[in-house]
Amino acid sequence: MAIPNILVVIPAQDEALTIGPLLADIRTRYGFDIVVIDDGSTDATAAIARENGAVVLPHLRALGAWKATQTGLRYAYNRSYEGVITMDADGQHLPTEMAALLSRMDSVDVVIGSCISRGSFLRHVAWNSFRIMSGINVKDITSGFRLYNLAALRVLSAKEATMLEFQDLGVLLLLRSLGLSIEEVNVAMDERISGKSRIFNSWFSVSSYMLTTAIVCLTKAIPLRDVRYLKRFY
Amino acid sequence: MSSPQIIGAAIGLFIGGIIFWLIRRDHMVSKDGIRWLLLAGFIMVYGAFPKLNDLLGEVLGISYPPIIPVLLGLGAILIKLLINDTERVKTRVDIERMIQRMAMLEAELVQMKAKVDKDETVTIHRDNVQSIHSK
Repeated sequence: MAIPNILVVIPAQDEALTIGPLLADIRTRYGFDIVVIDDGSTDATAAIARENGAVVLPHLRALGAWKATQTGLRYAYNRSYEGVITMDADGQHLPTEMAALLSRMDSVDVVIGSCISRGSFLRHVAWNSFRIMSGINVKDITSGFRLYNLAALRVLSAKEATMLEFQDLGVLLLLRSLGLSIEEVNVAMDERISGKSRIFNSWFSVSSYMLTTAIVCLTKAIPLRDVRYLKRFY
Repeated sequence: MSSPQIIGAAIGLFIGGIIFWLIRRDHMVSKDGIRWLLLAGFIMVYGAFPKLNDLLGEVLGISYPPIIPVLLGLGAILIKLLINDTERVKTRVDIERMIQRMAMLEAELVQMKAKVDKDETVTIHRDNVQSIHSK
């Protein structure tokens, strides 16, 4: 089977501790092109990424994990890659598991690397509530370990996707509105080696995330079928 | 429920509906929507149960004057704020997309510079080889 032209997109903020070994591992195993989006790091993340052969896209200021990811998706779309694998830089997502995502690439538009064994009881309650509210049949909605094909890249490069706050339900609901198929595959994940979650790091940010996601669920639960809206993406 | 109460609740519901539509059609980000939906809910409850106003007035020692012009003015300001919010979102998205584009262009510049440096090195090397051969 021919190796697809894949770009690995890694948003990173102060991940100097983990980024080097991660990039080396990906290069050795797959030889894919890698883009690291430096989202306002204050440490040597960008320099280490360059040393390890990645293209670094430096953000002028931190835009958050989703918008950093979108920078990578836009870069891939402009350069006609066949697909993108997004993953975290903190060591949670394992390069060995990329094969599981790639194995489903020909069948669906978006593959989500799912690991529902992680997360606290409360996080599981939140995931299940959002799943029921939105009607999206994805168990691990916050997983950033995903594979997007070209059709998904086109949708997610659009201006409307820049309005989303997180790479979770909003992204999935948008893709569903556009009729793209989504599938989960079970993958193993490690504990975060460095850094902290940008969502679940304080009660305030958790509350803000929960409210924002609940509103996204409620407003977009019924897929948009308006041609004028859908035309914005094509 | 008297008709002013119904109208008050309907105004809240109407604002809530507009916010819902604005978020759904990506004219407003969900984070801003939270504030507006809370406000709409507040107007709805307050409109439906104006006695809350009397209660509050009693607690604070303020009477309840018929201030319709003031309310109309506040309504106009509310609409203006809503429009401002949607405009602000557009500007914010444009700025964020510019930051993304700048990042892409910067990377491209670095790559082009590296390529030029490499080409120059090759040219210099070739010139050196040619000069050695010509000697």
